[in-house]
Amino acid sequence: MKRRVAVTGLGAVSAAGWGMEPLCEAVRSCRSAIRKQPRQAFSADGRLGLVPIPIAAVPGHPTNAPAPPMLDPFAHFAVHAAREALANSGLPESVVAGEQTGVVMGTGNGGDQARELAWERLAEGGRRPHPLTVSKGMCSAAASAISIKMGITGPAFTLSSACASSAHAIGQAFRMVQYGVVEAVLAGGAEELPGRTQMCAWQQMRVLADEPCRPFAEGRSGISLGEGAAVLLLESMDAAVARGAPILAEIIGFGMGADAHDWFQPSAEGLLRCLRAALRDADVTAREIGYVNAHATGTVIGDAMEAEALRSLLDESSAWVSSTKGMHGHAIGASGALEAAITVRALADGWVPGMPAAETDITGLRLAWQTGGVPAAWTGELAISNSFGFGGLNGTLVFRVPHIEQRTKRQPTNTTAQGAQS
Amino acid sequence: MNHRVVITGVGSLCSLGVGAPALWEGLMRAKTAIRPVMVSSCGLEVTIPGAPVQNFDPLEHFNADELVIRDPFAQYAIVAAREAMRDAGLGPGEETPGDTSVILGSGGGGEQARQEAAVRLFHERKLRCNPMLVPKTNNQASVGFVTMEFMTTGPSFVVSTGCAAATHAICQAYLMVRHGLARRAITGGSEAGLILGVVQAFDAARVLSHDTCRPFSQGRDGMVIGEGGGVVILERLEDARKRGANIYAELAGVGMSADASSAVHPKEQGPAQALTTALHAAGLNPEDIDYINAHGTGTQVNDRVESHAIRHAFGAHAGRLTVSSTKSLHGHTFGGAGGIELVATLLAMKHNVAPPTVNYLGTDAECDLDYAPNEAKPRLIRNAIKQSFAFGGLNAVLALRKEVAL
Repeated sequence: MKRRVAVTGLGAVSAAGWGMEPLCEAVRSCRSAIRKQPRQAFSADGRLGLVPIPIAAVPGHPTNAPAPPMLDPFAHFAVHAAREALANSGLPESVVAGEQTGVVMGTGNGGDQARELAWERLAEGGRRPHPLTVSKGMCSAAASAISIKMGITGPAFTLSSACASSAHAIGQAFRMVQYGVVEAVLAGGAEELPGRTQMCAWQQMRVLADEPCRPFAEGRSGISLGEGAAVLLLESMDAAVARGAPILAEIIGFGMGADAHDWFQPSAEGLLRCLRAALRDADVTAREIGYVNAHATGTVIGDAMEAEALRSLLDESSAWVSSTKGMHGHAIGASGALEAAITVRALADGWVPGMPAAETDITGLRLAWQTGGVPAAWTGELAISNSFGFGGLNGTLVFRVPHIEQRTKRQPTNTTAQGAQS
Repeated sequence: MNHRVVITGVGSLCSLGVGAPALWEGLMRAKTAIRPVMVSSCGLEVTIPGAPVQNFDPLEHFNADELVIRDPFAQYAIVAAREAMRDAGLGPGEETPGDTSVILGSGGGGEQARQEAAVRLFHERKLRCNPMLVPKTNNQASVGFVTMEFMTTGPSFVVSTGCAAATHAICQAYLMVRHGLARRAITGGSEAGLILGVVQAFDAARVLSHDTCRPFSQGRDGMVIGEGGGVVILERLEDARKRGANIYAELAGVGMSADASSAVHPKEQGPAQALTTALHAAGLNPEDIDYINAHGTGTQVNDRVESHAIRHAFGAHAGRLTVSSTKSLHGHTFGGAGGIELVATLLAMKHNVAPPTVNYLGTDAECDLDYAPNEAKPRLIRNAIKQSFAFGGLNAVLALRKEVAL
């Protein structure tokens, strides 16, 4: 018996600031948090040094609390986002602790800075790495840190599928609640800006933008890397209703799949297959979609391919489409979670996340360019969020305004973790 | 509708050789593949005990162009997946590809590519790094290439939970097939971390042995890094029956848990809880289990805590179990360990022989189970457990049943 899954808490850390509010404010007002900042990278004449690159870096913590020495930034962001999600869900930490809660996080690179520091020490004189290099650098550090801080002893693990990592993590968490593996999951993703090596690698792939990224805009020049974390608290709908939780949205479907096509080039066919799988899983039609939070990173080919897939899917539908990466940057393994959180907030509060006004719309989609400084009002009931990763790994989440009154009878809940992992 | 999940193909590649038969022969020979290995970079040389992949020539499996973009960890996953698919009697495009899921584990992804790039840029002061660096280092590279190889378009991702990554990946694949979200899964894990940067990082964490890997033994002093990959094919029982496939075992249940205690020091309640959960999910009692393929890294703390956890979960029956760590033979392959060791467990069930824990010097007061010390132990294995525990207290357990009654 599949159970319904509610989103009852949201938390985020992004270039816009520490918390959901600054992130949503940036998106509502279409204010980009991407800034040109000097980073160790190659300059135009091929020299390695400090080069201004548009990136979306998380600002210092408002209380100036230093990052805990045990954690790399990505895990620090994750713990903060998880705390916020839990705090605004009203679920006491004493209930969350224990084996009925899980933690599923996504990340592309994990503690890249800890690892980078170790390589640096090695490359610049063969010095020994810091003793915490492994525990700070490992991809699972964020999931582990959340489980430790909150006393969660249920299933906890980390997914890593590059840019699709946290969409996949939320999708797997959705399944775990849906099939009764656990009662609640803190699910999301976290990423820190890459160290020098990966930054150089990104540069050499020629996918980084010279100016803050402009998804779907004509003349777009690539990606602006970002960092941050977002965490969603998922609970079974019955449990959420029973405790009178603030139900922000319901996750009603998830689709994922592989293109099995090409490493770099997404395939419109693969994306469409993923979109259709998500709608089939949610048992809804494309016509019902009110808003699409696109993956669109700002690359010429990637955005065009996604637009093509969305055109085929949406057909004559009037769904709004936007990519919020122009505001919070592309935080790789955290992107899917940041965008899911924005989508849920927008759905709950009745506004459409827009994009800074661009000149021409060549996509044939109803892009939510924001011209008057105010986002369009939300009218639909259903929103989807796309994430697509290198290697052709895709994920689409389907959210709906919660239909609590439609609940006819309480579904039996499978309350033991034992039954669950079966 | 829940489906029963069976394992119909196995593939392995590690320091005991290429292929599952080489793994089994190596285990039965009871002679460790751990030997002194020199790793070097930036003019620095270190010789440590290690378990590098043996008898593997990448050019026998890939052309030069393919190798440009495939880090060794991805190569190992692909080669092991090919063997597992062949062993299961499956080929590319065998069936609707959308029904096949690829879920693999890896701790560090393309660490070798990452090290090469760091050295080029910051030691050799080169002005260009490999433009293929991102795909080479990406953790999901193994999965991406396997989907392309077999043209599978089902749900696919990498799980990265350090030393438990492959076992967590297999848990996820199991849930996918169990719940009808995929018809079949290619799952397991791989790792290629026997390089200076990784060696130094683990050495700095004070978990590496300077002698050899002797799990559960007195005088043990740490883990030994190995390399390789292990992959299995999961499918629905009815599908396997219909096509007359050879069934190694039923993956009857899984258990996952978090210690929620410390980033580096494991605690017995976490693993014990995952064990109990897996047994319950599989509908097995502690008395039904004959063999446990242990995590057994060879560190003081892991082996003690693991032995206590087994006592905790199995009670009086713990003394009748055979518990062995094959890491003593093929080293600790991190994110690949759960894959290779699951293959070892399945072959142990098939042959009714528990592989040995070698390099065993004598009983440790805190580790008081039957570890099949130094010699393989023939015994009926009806049902078995494969368990893996990661730094940070993330645990995963697989419960396997040999008699697959309808």
